[in-house]
Amino acid sequence: MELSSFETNQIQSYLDAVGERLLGTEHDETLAGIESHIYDAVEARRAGGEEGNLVAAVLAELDAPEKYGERPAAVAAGGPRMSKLVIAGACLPAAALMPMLIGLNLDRDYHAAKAILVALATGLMLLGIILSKVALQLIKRSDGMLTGAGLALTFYLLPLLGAVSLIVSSFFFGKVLPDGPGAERTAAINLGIMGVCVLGSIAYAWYEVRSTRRAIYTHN
Amino acid sequence: MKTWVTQLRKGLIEYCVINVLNGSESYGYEIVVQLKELEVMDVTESTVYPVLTRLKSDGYLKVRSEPSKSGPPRRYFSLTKLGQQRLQEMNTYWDLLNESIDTLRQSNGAA
Repeated sequence: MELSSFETNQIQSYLDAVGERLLGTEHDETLAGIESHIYDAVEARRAGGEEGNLVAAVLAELDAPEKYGERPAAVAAGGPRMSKLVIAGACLPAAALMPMLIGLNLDRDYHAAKAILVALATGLMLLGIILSKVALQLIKRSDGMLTGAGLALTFYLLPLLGAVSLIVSSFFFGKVLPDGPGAERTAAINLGIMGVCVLGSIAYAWYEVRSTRRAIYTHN
Repeated sequence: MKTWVTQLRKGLIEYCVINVLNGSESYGYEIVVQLKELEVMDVTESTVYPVLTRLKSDGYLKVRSEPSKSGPPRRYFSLTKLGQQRLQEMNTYWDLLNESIDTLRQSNGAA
C-alpha cells in the first residue's frame, strides 16, 4: 500500500503524540500495535471502495492521544533532565583529589594530618561511588525522565575497576611469586585469586553497562 | 452509575481479549474490530493495545510477526500455556460470579 509523505507524516505525528504518553516497556510494543492498526484500518477502507485521504479518516476515528494517559511531567516540562545525583557523584571524586594529593605529599612528621586527609579523600571517593550507583538505579527506573547514565556509569565503574587494578597490581608486585618452600603452590593460589578478581570485576562492569543500555533503549 | 459501568468494563477488557484469542491467533486490528462488535463493552484501541502489551509482558500472550501488504509487519497474538490456564481460571470465576449474583437477585425477588 502506497501512502504519500503527507499521510505518513500524519501517522507519525499521531504516533509521536501517543508515544509521549506511554511509559517504559509498554512504549514500543503498544506503538507498534497502533501503527499496524492504522495501516490495517486504511487497507480495510480502501478494500471497501473508499477514496481520498483515508489516513485522515482513520486517525479521526481513533482515540485522541490524551486517552492513553497524561504526558509525563518531564515531557510536559520540555524534556528529560540531568540527574543531580549524577553531578554530585562526579564532583565528589574530583573534590577528593586535593586532600589525597596533599595528604600523600605530607612529611612523616605530620602523620595524623596525613591520615585524616587520606581518610577524607577515601570517604569522598566512596560517597561518590555510592551516589553514582544510586543515580544509575534512579535513571533506569525513571522511564527516560532522567539522563546522565553514561556519566554515572563512568564514575561508578571506573573507581571500582581502578581499586581492583590497584589491589591486583600491589598483590602482583608483592606476593604473587613468593620465595621459599611451597612457593609454587602459593603463587598458583595467588594467581587464581587475581584471575577471579579481574574476571569478576569485568563481568560485573559488563553486566552494569548492559542492563543500563537495556533500560534506556527499552524506553527510547 | 456511569463510573460503575466504566470500572466494570475496564476490569473485563482483559477477560474479553483473552477470550477472543481462545483457540486462534489474531492481530491487533482484527481483535479491536471483534471487540467493537460487543457494543456494550465500548472498546477502543486505547484500551486494547495497552492490555495486549501487558498480557504479553506477563507471559499470557506470545507474538509472531508476519510481513503485511498494508504496512509494517502484522503482529499476531496467541495464548501461551499460561494464557490458556488463565482463560480457564477466568471462565470458571466468571461462571461462579454469574451464578452467585443470579442467586442473590432471585432470593431478593429481582425483576
